[in-house]
Amino acid sequence: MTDLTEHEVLVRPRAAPEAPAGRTTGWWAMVLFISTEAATFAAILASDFYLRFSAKGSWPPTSEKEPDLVLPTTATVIILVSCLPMLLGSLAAARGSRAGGLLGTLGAFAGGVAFLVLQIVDWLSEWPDSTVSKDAYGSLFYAITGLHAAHVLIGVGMLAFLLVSLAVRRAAARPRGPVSLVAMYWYFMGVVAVAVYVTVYLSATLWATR
Amino acid sequence: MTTERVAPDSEIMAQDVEAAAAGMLRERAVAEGAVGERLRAVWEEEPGFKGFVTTVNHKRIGRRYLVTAAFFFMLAGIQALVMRTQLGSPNNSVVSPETYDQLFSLHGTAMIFFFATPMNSGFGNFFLPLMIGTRDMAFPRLNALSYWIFLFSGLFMFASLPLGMAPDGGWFAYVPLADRLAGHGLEFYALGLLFLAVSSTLGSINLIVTALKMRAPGMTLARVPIFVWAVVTQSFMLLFALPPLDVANAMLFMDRRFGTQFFVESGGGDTILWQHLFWLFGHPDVYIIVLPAMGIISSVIPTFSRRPIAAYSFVVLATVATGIISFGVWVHHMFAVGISDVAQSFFAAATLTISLPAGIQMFAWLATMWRGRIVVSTAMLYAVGFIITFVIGGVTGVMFAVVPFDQQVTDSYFVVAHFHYVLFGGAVMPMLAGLFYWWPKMTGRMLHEKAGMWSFAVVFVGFNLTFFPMHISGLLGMPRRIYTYDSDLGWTVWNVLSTIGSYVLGAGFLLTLGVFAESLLRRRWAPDDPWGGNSLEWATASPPEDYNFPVVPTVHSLNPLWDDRTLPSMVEHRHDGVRTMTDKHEALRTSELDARVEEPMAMPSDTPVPLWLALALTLCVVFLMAGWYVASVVAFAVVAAVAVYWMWDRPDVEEIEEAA
Repeated sequence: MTDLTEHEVLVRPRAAPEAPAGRTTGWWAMVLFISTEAATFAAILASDFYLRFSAKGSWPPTSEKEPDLVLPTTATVIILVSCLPMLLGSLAAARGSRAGGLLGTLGAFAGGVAFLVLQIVDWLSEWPDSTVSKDAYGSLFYAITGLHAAHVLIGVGMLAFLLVSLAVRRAAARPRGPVSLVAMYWYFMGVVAVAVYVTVYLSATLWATR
Repeated sequence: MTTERVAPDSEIMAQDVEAAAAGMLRERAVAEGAVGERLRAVWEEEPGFKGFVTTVNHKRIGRRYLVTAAFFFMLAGIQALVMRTQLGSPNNSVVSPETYDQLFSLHGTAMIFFFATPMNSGFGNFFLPLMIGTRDMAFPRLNALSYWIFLFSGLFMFASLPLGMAPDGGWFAYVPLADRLAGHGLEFYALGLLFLAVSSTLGSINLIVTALKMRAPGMTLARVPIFVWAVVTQSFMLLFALPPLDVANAMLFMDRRFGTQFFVESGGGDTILWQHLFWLFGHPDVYIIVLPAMGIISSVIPTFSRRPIAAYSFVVLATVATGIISFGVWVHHMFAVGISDVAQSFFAAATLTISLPAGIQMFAWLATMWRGRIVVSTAMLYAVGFIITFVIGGVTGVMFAVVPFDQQVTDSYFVVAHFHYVLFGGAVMPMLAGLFYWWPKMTGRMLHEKAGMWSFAVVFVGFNLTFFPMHISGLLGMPRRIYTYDSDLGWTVWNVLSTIGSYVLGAGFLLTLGVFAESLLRRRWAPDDPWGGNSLEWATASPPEDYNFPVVPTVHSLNPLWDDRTLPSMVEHRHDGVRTMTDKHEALRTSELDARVEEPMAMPSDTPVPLWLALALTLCVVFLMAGWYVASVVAFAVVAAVAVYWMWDRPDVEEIEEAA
C-alpha cells in the first residue's frame, strides 16, 4: 500500500510549468468519444462485409461499372498526409507557439476541405451508375462515405474553431489544450479514411465477384 | 489488497446515536462551520424559473432523470394494464388489434429505453459524484444537455401515440416487417431511438470521466464503491453497444424513406443483418439495465447487514466480466432463425458462461447477509425481493442457452415471463430499494417505513401473480403479442390470474407513490446518515448542499464512513485551500488509478445554452420526421452554431488567459 501522505502532495510535472498535472477530463472525453465513434464505423463496415459475404450472386450486385479509383485514392492520401501538419501544429501549440499551431492547423484544414471537395466530385461521378436505391452496394457506398464525410465536415468545423481561437486567444496554445484534442480526432479521421477506402473502393474493385 | 479498517459495532452504534440526536455528523458540522458560508456564496444558483432551466447541478439533474423516467414508467405501465385488460378474457375487444400492436411495441420500447436506462442515469447522476466525494460531474453543462435530450426524445416518442402513429413492429422491430409496415410508426421508432442515443452517449462519457478523474484523494481503485464500478461498466457498455443500434436504426429509416436496400433481399440486402445489429446492442442492454441496479443492491445490503460486502474484489471482477461477456451472447436471441450449428454451440456456451459472474454476485450478497446482522427496512425488503425474483429469471435464462429448449419456447409467453422476471426483478425492484434507501438523502425527509413495507408486500405479490402464470401459459403454447385467444385453448385461467395480478401490481405502485407523497407533505426531517451507511454520500447534508462536501475528505478505506479516519480528515483539511476551494467554482481533479491530488479545476456555472442546443436538435429531428430535409439541415446548422458558442464560452477561459 502506498503511504497516504503521498496523496496530499500536489503533483506537478517537471518539464513544462504550465502543463496541468495528469490527464485532463477533456482528454478522456475525446478518447471515449473517439472510441464510440470507432464502434459506429466498425458496425457499418461490418455490415458491408456481412452483406457482401452473404450475397448469393455477384458483388456489387447490379453495377456494371467498377468504381473509379483515382479520385478516392487521391482524397485518402490527402487526408492522411494532412495528419502531419496537424501533428506539428499540435506539438507547436503545446510549446506555447500560436504561430506554429496556426500553421499546422491551417495545413490540416486545407487537407480536410480538399478531401470533402474530392468526395463530392466522386459522388457526382458515381451517381449516374449507382444510386442509393439501386442495390445494397449503392446504399452502403453512400451511407459509409457519407458518414465519414459528415465526420470530416465536423472535423473541419473544429479546425476552423481552432484557427479562430489561436488567432484571438493566447491560451489556445497550451500544453494539453484544445489543439491536442482536435488533433486526436483528426488522426482518427485519417485512420477511418483508410478503412473506408479499403472497404467500399478497393474491395469492390480489386476483389469484385462476378 | 487494501487493509480495511472497519469500525467496531459499538462505534457504529455511537455514530447512529449521535446522528439521531443532532441530525448532523460532527465532522461535517465542523467543516461547514469553517467554510460553508463562503462556499454557499460561490455555488449559489439562480432561484425560480430561470434557475430551473439553467441549472447544471448534478443533483437537480439526477432528480429530474428519476422523475421523468418514473413518469414514462407510469405511461408504459398504463399501456400494460390496458393490454392485460384486453387479455383478461377470451375473444375480448377492449382494444383493436392495431391499437394492441402499438401498445405492446411502445410499452417495450418505453420501458427499456425511456424508463430503465434513464432511471439508472438518474441514480448515477445523483449519487456517483456524492459516493466518490466530489462537487459535481466532470462536465456539468453536458450533463444538463443529456437530460434535456432524454426528455425531448421521450416526448417525441410518446407523441406518436396520440397522433395514432406509434411504432407497431414490436420493441425489436424485425425487418422485413419493419421495412414494410404502413404509416410512420417505425420512423418514429428509428428517429426517437437515434435521438435518445445522443443523450445516452454523452451521459456515459460524462459518468466515466467523472469516476476516473474526480474521486476524492485516497479513493484508489480498490476503494471504489461497487455502485460506481457498476455505473462505469454500464457506461462503457453503452459506448460500444449503442453504435450497432444506431447504425441499424439509421439503415431502417433510410430503407423506409430513401429506398435504400440494406434489408431488402431482392436488392442484395439481408434481413438477418437487422437481427445481428439489433441484438449486438440488445443483449448487452439487458446488463446495461441490470448492472447499475445490482450496484444499488450492493449499496443497500451491506448497510442493512451491518458489515462490508463479502468478496469485494470478486464482485467487482464479476461486474466487469459481465460487461465484457455480454457482447458475446447476442445470437441466443436468434436460435430459431437458422444460424449454423457451430455458431449456435458457441453462443450457447457463452450464454452459460455469463451466468457465472451473476452467480458470484448472488453468493456475495447472500454471504454478506449470512455473516451480518440484518436490519429489516423497506429498502432491504426490496433488495431481498430482487434476489428471489432475479434468481427465478436467471434460472429460466439459463434454460434458453439450451438450443432445443429455446426453439420450443421462443416467441411464447414463457419468454415474456422470463424477461419480466429479469427486468422487473433485476431492475425495478433494486430501483425501488434505491429509492427507499436514498430518499432521505435526496429529499431530506424520512419515509413512513411501515407503509413502505406494505407497498413492498403488495408489489411483490402483484408482480409474481402477474408474471408467474405466464410461464405456464407459455409452456401451453400461448404465443406472445397476440391480441386475443379462444376459450378452448386452456389459457384462460392463467390469463385471468395474470390480469388480476397486474391490477394488484398497479395498486402496489399507487401505494408506493402515496408513501413518497406522504413523506413530502410531512416534516420528518432526515439526519445526515439515517441508516448508518458505509459510503461517502452519507457524509453530506440531507439533502446535500450545492457544493456537496465543504471539505473534500481523504478516503481511507472501502467503507469510509465506517473507518475512523475518513470523516476526521474533513476537519483536518478545513484550512487547506486545495480541499476547500472556497474562492472559485471549482472541483478537485485527481489521478485515475490512485486518486492522487492533481489540481482544482474550474467548473461552469448555470447556463441556458444546453437547453438551446437540445431544442435546436429537437427541431432537427422533428423536421426529419416530417420529411422537411432542408429545414432539418438548417436546424442542424443552428445546433452547430450553439455548440460553437458553448465551446467558446468556457468556464476556465479567463483563468487560462491570465495564466498565459
